[in-house]
Order: sequence, then C-alpha cells, then structure tokens
Amino acid sequence: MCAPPLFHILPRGGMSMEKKDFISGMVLLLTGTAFFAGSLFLPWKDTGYDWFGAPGLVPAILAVLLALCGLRLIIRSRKERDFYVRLAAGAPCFCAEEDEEEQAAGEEPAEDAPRPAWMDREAPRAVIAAGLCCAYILLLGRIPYMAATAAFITAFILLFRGAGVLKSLCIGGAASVSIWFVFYRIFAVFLP
Amino acid sequence: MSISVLFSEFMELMNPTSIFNAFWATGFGIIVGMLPGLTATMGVALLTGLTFRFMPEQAMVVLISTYVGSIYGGSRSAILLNIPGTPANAATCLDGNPLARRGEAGYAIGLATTASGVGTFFGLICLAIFSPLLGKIALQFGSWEFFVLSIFGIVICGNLTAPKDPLKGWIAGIAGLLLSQVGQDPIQALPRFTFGELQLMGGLSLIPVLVGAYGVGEIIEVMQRPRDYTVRTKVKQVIPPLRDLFRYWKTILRSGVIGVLVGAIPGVGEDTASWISYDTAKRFSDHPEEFGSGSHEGLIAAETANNACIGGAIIPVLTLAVPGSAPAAVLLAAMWLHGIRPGPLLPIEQPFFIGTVTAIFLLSTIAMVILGLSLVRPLVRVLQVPRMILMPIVFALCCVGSFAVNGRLFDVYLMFLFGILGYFMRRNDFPAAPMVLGFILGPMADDNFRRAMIITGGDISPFFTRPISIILWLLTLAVVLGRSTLFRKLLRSLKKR
Repeated sequence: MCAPPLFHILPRGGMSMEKKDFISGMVLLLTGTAFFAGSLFLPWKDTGYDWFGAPGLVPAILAVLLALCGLRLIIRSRKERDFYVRLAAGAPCFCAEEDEEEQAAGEEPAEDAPRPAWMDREAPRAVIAAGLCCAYILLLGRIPYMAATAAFITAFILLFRGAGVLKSLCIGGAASVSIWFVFYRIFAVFLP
Repeated sequence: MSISVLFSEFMELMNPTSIFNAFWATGFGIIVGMLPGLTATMGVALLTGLTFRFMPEQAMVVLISTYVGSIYGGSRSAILLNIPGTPANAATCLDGNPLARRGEAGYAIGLATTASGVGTFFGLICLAIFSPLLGKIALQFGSWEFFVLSIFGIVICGNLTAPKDPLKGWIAGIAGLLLSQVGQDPIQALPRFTFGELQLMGGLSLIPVLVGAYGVGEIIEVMQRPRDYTVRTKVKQVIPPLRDLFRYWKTILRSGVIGVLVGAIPGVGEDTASWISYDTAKRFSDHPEEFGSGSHEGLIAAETANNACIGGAIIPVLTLAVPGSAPAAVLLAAMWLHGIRPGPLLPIEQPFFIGTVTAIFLLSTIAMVILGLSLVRPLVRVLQVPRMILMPIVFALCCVGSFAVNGRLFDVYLMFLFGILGYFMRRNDFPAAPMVLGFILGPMADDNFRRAMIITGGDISPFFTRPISIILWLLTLAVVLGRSTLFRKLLRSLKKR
C-alpha cells in the first residue's frame, strides 16, 4: 500500500507531454539562439591565439547544440505521435495505481475544517509556495533575519493549514531562534 | 594504499570532535534521507555552505557522513511507507514494504541497515584500492582526454538518468555546460554573458545552483502534491540478521561490484545502481518468484548496491575531479571550497588525502550502523512531521546555506531562480543530475578544449587519435547509437538476415 494523498483529487498537470515538449523546445531554441548571438559579440580576433582560442568558441558550439536539441524536441512533438504513445504506455508512475484505487474506493482523508478551494488544486499550491519563498528572500537583508524567518515559517504553516495560529507562531519563533543560534553562534556562519 | 596507512588515518580520526561530527552528521543524513522530498544531494549541498568555516578535514567528516547517512536513511521510509526517501531507495520499496506489511518491519530495517553497512564497507575498500590505480592512469590524461571525458560524462549521465527519453537528459547536460560558461573565461579572463554585472564576473556559484535545483525545486513540488505520511506498521524490535547476510554472500558481493562500477560512471548515481543490482539479483536468484513480495535477497541487493555506489562515486572525484553521482558533485564542490584540489595531482599534492577520505567513510559506516539499529522509534516520529511544517524550515536553511559561502544575497536570489528552473525541469521530465554534472564539467571542457586547440594550432585530429580518447569516443558512440531507434532497427534487420 502506498501513502494516501492528503487531498482527494489533485489534478495532475493537465497539459499533454507533446504540448509541454513543444513549449520546452521553443524555449530551448530561443535560449540557444540568444546564447549563440551573445557568443558572437565576444572578441574573436585579437585574443592572442586565433579563432580557436576565442572565449566565444565553446559557448557558441554549446548554444548551437542546445538550439538543435530544441528543434528536435519541436519536430518530435509535432511529427512523432507514436513516441508519446509508447512513452505513456511504458511510463512507470510511482504510486499512481494505488492513488487511483483509493480514489475509486472513495477513501476520504479525515479533515478538521473546510479548506479554501485553491488548496485542492496543484497549480495554485505551487504558485503560493513559490510566492511565499520569493517574498521571504526579498525580505532578507531588509528586516532582521530572525523576524523575517519567523514571519515566513509562521505564514507558510498557517496558509497551508499545517497547524493553528498559536502553534504556527511557536514553531516559527522557535525555528528562527534555533537556526540563528546553531548557525550564527555555534557554526559562526554569516546570516543574511 | 596499504592497510597501515588506512589504520593510521583512522586512528587520527578517533578524536572527540571527529566522532561527534560523524555521529550528528550521519543522524542528520538519516533524517534527510528518510524524509520523502529531501534528497541526499540536498542534504550534502545544505551542509556544504553551513560547514564553510569548519576545518577541511572536519567539513569532509560532516559531508561524507551526511552522504552515507542519507542514502541509507531512504530505506526507512521505503520500508515503512512504501515511498522511497531518496530515489536511491526506490528498489527497496519492492521487498521492504511487503516485509513490513507481513509484520516484519523490524527485521526488514535490520536487514537494510546491515546490508547498507556491508555495501558502504565494500565501497570504501574499493575506494582505497582503486583510487591510487585510477590516479596513475589519470596522469596520462592530457587536455584532449579531459575534454572527451566531460562529453562522455554528460552523454552517459543523460542516458541513464532519463532512460525513457535520453534526449531530455542530454539537453539538461548541454544546458548545464552552457550555464557554466557565464563569468570570466578561464584562459584570458574575458567576461562572458555578464551584461556588465559585477556579481556575475565570478560565474554562477555552484552551491546556490545545486541547492536551488535540488532543494527549492523539491520544496515546491512537495507542497504542490502533499501526501499523508502516517506509519501504519508497528516496529517491534530491530534485529541485525547476520545469518541472512552469510546466506546471501554471493548477492552481496555481486551487488557491491555493481554499486561500485555504476558509481564510478560520471553522474549516474545510487538509484541506477540499486535498480541494476536488484534486476541482476532476480535473474541469478534461486527464488525469483519471491522478488517483489518480500524477498530478503531483493532487499539486500538494493541496499548493498546503493551504499556501495557511494565509494564508487568518490573514486572519479578524487582521481579525475569528475563526480560519479549528484551528491558526489556537491562533495567535489565542497573540496574546492576548502582548498582541496582533487584530480590526477592529488596523490602528489596531498598524499594522505585518499586515506583520510577512506577512514572518514569507515567512521561514518560505523555511525550509520549504530544509529540505524538503535534510533528506531524517534526516527519513526520524525518521519511523520507534516511537510507544511518541515518545508519552510528547509527553505530557510537553503537560504542560509547559499548565503554562507560568499556572504551575498545575490546567491540567495540565484538559488531561488535555479529552484524555479529545477521545478519546471521536473514537471517536464528533464533530469537535474546531467545539468548539475554539466555545470561542474563545463569549465573543464571549455578550458581543455581551447587549450588543446591552441597546442595543436586548430587541428582537431588528436581528439580522435589518442588511445584513451578513442576508447571514450567509442563508449560515447555506443551509448548514443544504443538509444537510436534507427540503429536498433538496423541491428534487428541484420540479425534476421
């Protein structure tokens, strides 16, 4: 038996792998082209060695390779549907079968309070987790380290319903003081 | 390396500071490995920044102990939850969890602990024997060979870490190589892709890149799809099953050899080692039908190989400065940070360092077995800490680890950016290991390629005519052609004829 998911239905990704590969291919093609253009602007003459000693040589080769790989990904996503059929057929997805079994059996995890709608969807959860992390790193250096860390940990736990208000505050405070004490006082590591 | 050198290095480590560091770091590693969502690479990367101010030897004690502990620790959640704590323990789930469900959780934990201990010990013996030998071969390497070696590393790593779609593995490797070109070039110190930004002159720092790709990406993914980690199996008593170890000595030996060999291949790592070992053990077993339903032999095969792989992964780190796995890549970065220069000249510059590393391995193996067999109930409790409490604390630690190395917030922002990149790579099935390997091998590839070209005046033929280069090119070609559908069709039609 696999560990059950905490939430009954969390739709996975949504986008097909063909579409994902097409977008990835485009991004890689553009990145490769940009790096290639950037490497052409680096000095190729007057380097003291000739073209083969130029600093842009290796980046240019790698950029072309990356762009070609991106192009291959685009072509594959458009022309080779068989590949994705084979990929889907042979793709071992860890615990997926068990998830489905549990969902089919209608096994609902116990809940204390109703959750907001965003918590049952993958994308908003990821965006909120990333957003909180982003806010924390932007706070670092602007307000005292312990205050920023305590606020971040408390907010994270509260928003994701990890604990109640008092417990979240206690965990946030204790964690920030512990990190400060262990790393600043004992390990003599600089803190942001 | 003689036994006496190893013994004297080990006795030198027998001081309270080293023992204390080995035990807490192994314990930390076990917890990191045990918690699904935290990987060995992340654990070692986190502590690299945090042990920046340690003496080099003590930093190595902490990092190697964390590495050993985390690869072993993943077996705990694999057995109790059927979720591998690290990718290296995925094969352990197949037989470990059925044993736990049969009420033999304690026995399975004991078996995994002793098999991991034996595997690590086998790896360290190979490290002591083969590192000096490979070091002698590495002295024959010129710029040509080092360049071809980095290409070989990327190709094989991409191939093995993305078995379903190797193209994505190779793309990740090339992207890593390209990103490593940011900063001053190694020959003329001319800035590349820095846009006049002073912070980029020194290039993208390795630790923030590693912590971001492995740590932050993982945090976002774990928060995206949380799971319930309630342990439903009772663990009564953990028994070290020595009788089973003697019974399956052939499996242990075979798995140890597989682990070390796979570990020595650049960038591949413990997960591949344990799967290959598990599959091989099944093929050679007298009872293959028991595999997948609680086979002791299967559990031993998986756990011996993944821990033996650690020793194997360190061999190329010390002799060629090429990491054998993702956590070994971080270890290599940590060595550079502490002024140790691994590579062909290491035995000349620091003749006792290989012995010290081997002795540290021995100390951490002892710590792993002691902690693994004794701290069962507290570890089960840690396993059940909700991820929404754990993950913000881990992120705060990631920030401290990234900041500590250079003391600048730019590295924290860099870590976050690479975290987002790592997250999207996961969502699109691009493996992170080849990117990290590419990032590490990039400067070596660039420097050696241009140096070789300058020596020969632009003639590329030595890349294809020198004996070691020929062998590496042939291996690379075999890997690429082996995955080509067209080539396989051609082989099949030739066979039919």
